[in-house]
Amino acid sequence: MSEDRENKGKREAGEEPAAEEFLKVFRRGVQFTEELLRENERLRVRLVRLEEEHRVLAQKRLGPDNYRQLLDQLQELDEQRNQLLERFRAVESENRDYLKRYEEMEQEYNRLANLYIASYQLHSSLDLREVVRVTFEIIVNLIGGEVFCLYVLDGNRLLPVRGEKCVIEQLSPLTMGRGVAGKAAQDGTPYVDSGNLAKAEGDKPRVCIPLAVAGETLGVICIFKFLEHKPCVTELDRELFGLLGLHSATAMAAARLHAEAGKIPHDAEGFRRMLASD
Amino acid sequence: MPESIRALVVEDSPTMRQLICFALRRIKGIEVVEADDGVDGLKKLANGPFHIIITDINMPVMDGLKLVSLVRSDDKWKEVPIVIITTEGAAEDRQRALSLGANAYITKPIQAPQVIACVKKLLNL
Repeated sequence: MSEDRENKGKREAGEEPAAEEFLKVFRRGVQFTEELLRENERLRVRLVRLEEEHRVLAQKRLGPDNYRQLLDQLQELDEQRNQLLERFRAVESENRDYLKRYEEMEQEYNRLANLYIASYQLHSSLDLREVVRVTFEIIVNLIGGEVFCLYVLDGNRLLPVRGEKCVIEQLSPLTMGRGVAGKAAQDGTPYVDSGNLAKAEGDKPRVCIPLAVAGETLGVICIFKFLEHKPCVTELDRELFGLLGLHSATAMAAARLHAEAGKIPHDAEGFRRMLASD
Repeated sequence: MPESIRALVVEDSPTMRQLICFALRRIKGIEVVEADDGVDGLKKLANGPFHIIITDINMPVMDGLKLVSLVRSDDKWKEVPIVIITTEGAAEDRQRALSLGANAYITKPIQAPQVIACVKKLLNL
C-alpha cells in the first residue's frame, strides 16, 4: 500500500524510469543491428574478393599433365644448355689450339725469314769485304753479338783478321784443336758457353762458330761478348751459327776464288766440261 | 687510317732493312719504301704521303737523329709517327731521338713480331 503510494508520488513528480530504460535498450538494439549490417556488408565484400582470388588461382592451377609437360620442357632446356656449354668448351679449346698453332707458325715464319735474309745477304756479293761485312752485320743485328773476331786458318794456326769492337793486334793467334775455339774449328761444331753471354771474360770466347766448306776448315768466328740484353742464345741463334758456318764460309771461299780469277768465266764450253767431268 | 698504309724504312744495312721490310709486309695493306740513309730518306719522303717512318740512328751521309729533327721541323710531317732502331747500350742516342720527336724505339737484335707490334700500336691497327 505504501509502495503504490510512492509510485503514484513519483509519477506525480514526472519521473518515468521504465520508459527510459526501454529507450536505452532500444537504442542499443538499433546500434547492434547497425553493426551487424556493417559486418554483413564487410563479409560480403570479403566474399566477393575471395571468389575473385579463387577464380584466378583456379585459372593458374595446373593439372598433373601440365606439370609433367613443364618438367619435360625443363629437362629439354637443361639438355640444350648442357649441349651448348659442351660446344662452347669445344670451340674454346679449338680456339686455343688455333692460337697456339698461329704462334708456332709465326715463330716458324720469323725463323725462316731470318735464315732466308742471312743466306740471301751472304750470297749477294762476290766481294770478300762485302761478304765479311754482311757476316758481321748478321752477328750484330740478327744474333746480338757485340765483340767478336774472325780468325782464318793459316797452316795449323788460326789468325785474327777482322774484329768488331776489338783490336785484332791485341788478340793472340789460336791453334787448331786447342782451346774451345781451336776444337770448334777442328770438329766443325759450334761452341756455346753456358754462362752469361752478355758479360765478357777477357779473351775467353763465349761462342765459337767454325767456318768450313766441303769439309775443309776456313776459319772460326769467336764472339767474346753479346749485347747487354742478350744473356743466352736461342734455338734460332743456334741455327744461324750453323748457317753462318756453312754459308759464310762458302761465300768467303767463292769471293776469294773470284778475286783470284778476276772475273766470272763466260764460256759455255767450260761450263759444259765442268758439268760433264763428274 | 686509310686502307693503304705507306711506311718509309731508312736503314743503311741491307740485312736490317730486309728484315724490317719483311716484318712490315706482314701487315695487311702496307706499302714499304726503302731508303739507304737520311738524305735518301728525305728524298723519298718528298714523294709522300707516308704514315710511319722507321729509321736507324747510325747511318752514313745523314744519321737518324738529324733525320728525326728535320722531319719534325716540317709541318707536313709533324704528326707522322717515327720509330728508331737502336742498340740497348745506346741509351743516350735513344733519349736524344725521343726528345727530338721520335715516338718509339726498337732495340737490336730485332725480331719481326716486335716491329709489327710497335707499328700496329702507333697506327692504331
